[in-house]
Amino acid sequence: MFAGLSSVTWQQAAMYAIGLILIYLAIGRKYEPMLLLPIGFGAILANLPLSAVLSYGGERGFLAILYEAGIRTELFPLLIFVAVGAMIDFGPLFKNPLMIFFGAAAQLGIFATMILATFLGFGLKEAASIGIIGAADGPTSIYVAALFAPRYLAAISVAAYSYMSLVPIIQPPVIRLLTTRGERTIHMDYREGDVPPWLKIVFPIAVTMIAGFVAPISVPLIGSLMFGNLIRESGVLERLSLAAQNELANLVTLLLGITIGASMTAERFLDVKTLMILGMGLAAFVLDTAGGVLFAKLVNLFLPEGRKVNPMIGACGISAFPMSARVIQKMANDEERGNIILMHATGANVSGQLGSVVAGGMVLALVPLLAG
Amino acid sequence: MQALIASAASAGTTVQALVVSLGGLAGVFATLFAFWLLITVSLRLSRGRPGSSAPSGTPPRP
Repeated sequence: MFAGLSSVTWQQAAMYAIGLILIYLAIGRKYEPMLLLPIGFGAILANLPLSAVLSYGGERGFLAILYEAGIRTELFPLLIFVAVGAMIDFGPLFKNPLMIFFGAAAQLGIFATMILATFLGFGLKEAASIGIIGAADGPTSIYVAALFAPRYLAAISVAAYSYMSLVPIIQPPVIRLLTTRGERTIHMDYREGDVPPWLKIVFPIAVTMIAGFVAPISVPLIGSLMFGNLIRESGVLERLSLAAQNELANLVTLLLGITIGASMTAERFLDVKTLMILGMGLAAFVLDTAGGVLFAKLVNLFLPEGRKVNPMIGACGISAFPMSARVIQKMANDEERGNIILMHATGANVSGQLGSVVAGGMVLALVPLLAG
Repeated sequence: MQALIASAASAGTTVQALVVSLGGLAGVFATLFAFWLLITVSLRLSRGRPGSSAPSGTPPRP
C-alpha cells in the first residue's frame, strides 16, 4: 500500500491537478465534456505510481495497447472523421457557394502559427503540428501530430479541444476589434434556392477525387470524412448513417479521449514547451478568426452595395463546427435583433471543415519535401 | 520546381515554414476553388434542366 504512496513525485501530483482541472472544465463548465473528461481521467490514470494502465510486469497495459492500435496507426481520428462526415450537411454551402472561400482564408492561423513556432525554436515538423491546432479540428490535429510530433501529441490535442470549446470566448473580441458596428449589422438575404439531390451524392465523391489528385497524402483524412457524408446523403443507408453519427462517434470519442489522456505522463507534459504550445494554439485560433474576417472585408471591397457579406461570417471558416456558426449568429442578433445570418454562417462553417482537412493534407504533403 | 524545393530544403527552418505556408495556403485556396467550381457548374447544369432539381432535404444539424 505504501509503495505506491511513497513513490508519488511532485510532477505526478501536478498531473493529478491538471487532470482534475480538465474534469472540472468538462463537468462544471461543460467545455467539450465528451473529450475533456476522458482526457482528464486518462491523465490521472497514467500518472498513478506504478500504474498498470501503461505497463505492468513487462507487458503493455490496456491504454498503451489502445495508443498503439488507435493513435499510432491513426485509426481513431480517421474513424471520428467518418462520424463527422455523417453529421455534416453541405446544403447551406450549396445555396451560397461563395462561402467556401472563407473556409480557406480562416486557415491563415495554421500557417502563421507554424512560422511563429519556428521562431521559438521548434523544428519544421513540430511547428507544423503546433500550427495545425488552428485547424480547430481535433482529428486533423491528432492525425498530423501523431505523424510529425508524437512527443507533443498530448499537449496539441488538449490545446485543440480546449480552444474549440472556448470559441465563444475567443472569437467575439477578435471580431469586434476588426469590424465596425455597421459591418456587424450587415444583412444577408437567404434565398431558398433549389439544390439538385444528385449534387449531394456527387459532391463527396468528387471532393475525395480532387483532394486525391492535389494532395494524395490527404486522402485518408478527406476520404474518411466524405465516406461518412456519402453514407448520410445516399438516402439508402440510414441505419449506417445513424450508427456513424451515434455509436461510432461515441465509442471512438470515448477511447480517443482516455488514450490521449494516458499519453499525458508527467515527464512528457510538464515541460515549458507544453506552455508554449498552449500559447501558440491560442494564437492560431485568434489568427484564424482574423484571417477569415479580414478576407470577408477584402471581398466586400469588390461586391456591390446590397450584396456585401457580413464580415463576421468570415470567422466561421475556422471550422469548429457547428459552434462557430452559432456564436456568429448570436453576435449578429446581439448587434441587431432579428438579423439572421445563420445559414450563411453554417455554409462558411462546413467550408471550414473542408478547409481544415485540406490544410492538414497540404502540411502533410509539403513538410516532408523540405524536412525529410 | 525541383530546384526551388532543393533550395528551400537547404534553407533555415523559418524560411522552410514560410515556403510551406505560402504553398499550403495557395493549395487550400486552389483546392477549395475547385470545389466551388464543382458546386457552381453543378447548380448551373441543374438549372438548365427544368424539373431536374428538387428542394434540398435535410436541415442543418443543430
